[in-house]
Amino acid sequence: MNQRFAPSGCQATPILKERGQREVFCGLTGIIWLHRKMQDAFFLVVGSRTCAHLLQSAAGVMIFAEPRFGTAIMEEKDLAGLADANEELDREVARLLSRRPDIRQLFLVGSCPSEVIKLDLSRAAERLTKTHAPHVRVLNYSGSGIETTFTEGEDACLAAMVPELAATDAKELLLVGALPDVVEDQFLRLFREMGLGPVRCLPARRADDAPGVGPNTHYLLAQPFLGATALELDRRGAQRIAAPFPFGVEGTTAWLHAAAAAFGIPREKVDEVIAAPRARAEHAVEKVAERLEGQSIFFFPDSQMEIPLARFLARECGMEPIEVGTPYLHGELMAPELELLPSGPQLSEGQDVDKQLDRCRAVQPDLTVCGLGLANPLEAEGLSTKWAIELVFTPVHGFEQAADLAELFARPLRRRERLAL
Amino acid sequence: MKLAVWTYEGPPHVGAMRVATGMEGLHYVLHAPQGDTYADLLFTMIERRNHRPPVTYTTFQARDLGEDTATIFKDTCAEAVERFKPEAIIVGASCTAELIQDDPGGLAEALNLDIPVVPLELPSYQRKESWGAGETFYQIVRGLTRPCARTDEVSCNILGPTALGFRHRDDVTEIMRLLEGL
Repeated sequence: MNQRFAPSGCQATPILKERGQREVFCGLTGIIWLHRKMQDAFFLVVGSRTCAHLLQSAAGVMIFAEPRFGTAIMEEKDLAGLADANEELDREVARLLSRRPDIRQLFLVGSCPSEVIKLDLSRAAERLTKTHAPHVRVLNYSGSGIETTFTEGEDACLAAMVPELAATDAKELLLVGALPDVVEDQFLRLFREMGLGPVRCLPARRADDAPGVGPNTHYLLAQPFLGATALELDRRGAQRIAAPFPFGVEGTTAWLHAAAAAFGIPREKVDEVIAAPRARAEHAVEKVAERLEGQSIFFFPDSQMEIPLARFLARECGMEPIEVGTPYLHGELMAPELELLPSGPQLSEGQDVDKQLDRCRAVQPDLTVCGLGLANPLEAEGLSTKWAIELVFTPVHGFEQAADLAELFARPLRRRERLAL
Repeated sequence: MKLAVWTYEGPPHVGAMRVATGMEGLHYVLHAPQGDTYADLLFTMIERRNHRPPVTYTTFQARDLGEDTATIFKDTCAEAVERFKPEAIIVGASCTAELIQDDPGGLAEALNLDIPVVPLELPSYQRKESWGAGETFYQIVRGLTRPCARTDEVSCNILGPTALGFRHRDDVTEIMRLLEGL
C-alpha cells in the first residue's frame, strides 16, 4: 500500500460553500437502483411529465415492459382541487396493484410539483396501506430535487422504511445501504466466517426479509449519504458503528474491524478471515495504481461519495486530489474519512457550476470526475473525464471490487493514451 | 393523473431547450428546481454535443421557497447574461417553477438588459415537448424578426430543425443538396 501521504488530514480544512446552478440529479434517480434491489417493490412517482421524462432518460434501456416504477403524471385538474388528486391517486394505485400481485411494497414518491402543491402523500400512504393490507404495504418518501440531491433519494427511501420496521431486542448487526447483491453476499460471508451474527440488511431484497430494529441493533453504514436513515435508526434506539466507508483495502479493513469490535470479535480473528481477500485486493490495486500514481484529480459534486473516494485514490493509488466537491458534507459521518484524507485539496460543498468549471479549467487536472451533462463538453476541451454516475452503478465496495474501483479511474487515462489525444 | 411508464415526449420546456440548442447566440434562463439539469445529458450524451446546451437553471431548493426565489431568478439571469454574452435570451419556468408563479418574463424585463428578452409561457400541465418547441420558435420569430431587403440571389430559409430532432440533421443535409441541385 502506498505510504506516501501527508501527516495531517482534512478535519480543519476550510470548506468552500457556493450557491449557484447545481448540476446534479434529484433524488428520484435513486429509484433506478432501488427498484432493482427491492425485488417486490414498486416506485410510483407522483409528479409531472418532467419527472417521467427524467426517469426515462436516466434509466435508458432499463424501461422493460412492466417495469416496477412509473410516474402518475399530474394534470391541470389535479392542481385545481386536492380532493380530486387523492381520488385519482387511489384509483391509479388500485388499478396498478390489481394487475401486479407480485408487488408487496409500494412507495409513493414525492416530487417537486407534489411538494409545492403540498399534496400529502404520507397521509395517502397511510390510507392506502389500510386499503391494501396485509398483502401490500404503502410507504412515502420525497425524491424531489428541492429536498434531495441524487443519492439522498436512497436516504429518504430507507429513512421512510425505518419507522415501519418491527421492534426487536436481539443483538444484531444491521448493514445499511443498497449494495449490489454480489457485494452484499461477499460482506455477509466475511461476517459469517468471523463468527459475527446475526447480520440483517436494510433494504432487504424482499419485503418479508425486512430487518427488525431496537436498542441492541448495531448498524453499519455502507454508504456515506445515509444521514437521514442514520437519524431514524438512532430514534429507534439503534447504535451506529462509526468507521470509514468500505472503499479500497484500507476503508474495507477499518470498516470490518469496527463492526467486529462492536461484537467482541478479536482483531486476530478478523485479520485471519480477511487475510486472503485483503492480500488479493492489495496486489490488484497496486497494479492499477501504477497508472494513477502522481495524476491529479478534480471531483465535481454528485453522490457524497467524493470524499471517501478521494481518500482511497490518494492513499492507495498515489493520486493528487486538487478539489473535492460534494453536494453535502455530513460532519459526523464523514469525520473518519476527513481524518484520513491527506490535507491539500480544496474541499467544496454545494455548487456554482460555472465558477467550478472556471476553477477546473484553470488547474487542468489529469482526471475530472463529473456528471453526464459536463463530461463530453470537458472532453472536447481536452480534459479526461470519468462519469460520476458509474461510481453509483458499478460494484465498487469491498476487497473484491477495490481494483475495479481503481480501474474505473485508470480507464479514461488509458483510453486517452491509446487514442493519442 | 395518468400513470405513465414511458412517454414519447418530455415537458414543453425541453422543447424550448431543443430550439435554443439548435441556435447560436441565444441563451435560455430557466427557473427550475434542482434536478432539472438532467436535461443537459440529453444533448451531451444522446447527441454527444461538445458543449452544454445554452441553458442556465436557477436550481432552487426547498429552503429557497420560503424566501426569495424571484431574486434568485433575477441574479441568475443577470449573471448568465454577463458570463455568456448572448445576443438575446429566452426566459421561462419549468413545471415546478410555474407553480410558484414568479413571472420570469417580467423579472427579466425589469433587469433592463441591452439585449432582447423573449418570455415564454409554456403550460407544463397541459402541453408537451413538441408544442413547446413550436411555441418557442414562434415567440422567437415574433419577437426578433425585422423586415430586411431581398438578397440579390435567390435564397431559402429552412425552418424548424432543432437539437434532438429525429433525423433533423440528415433532413437538412438532404434538403440543402436538393436545393443546390436546382
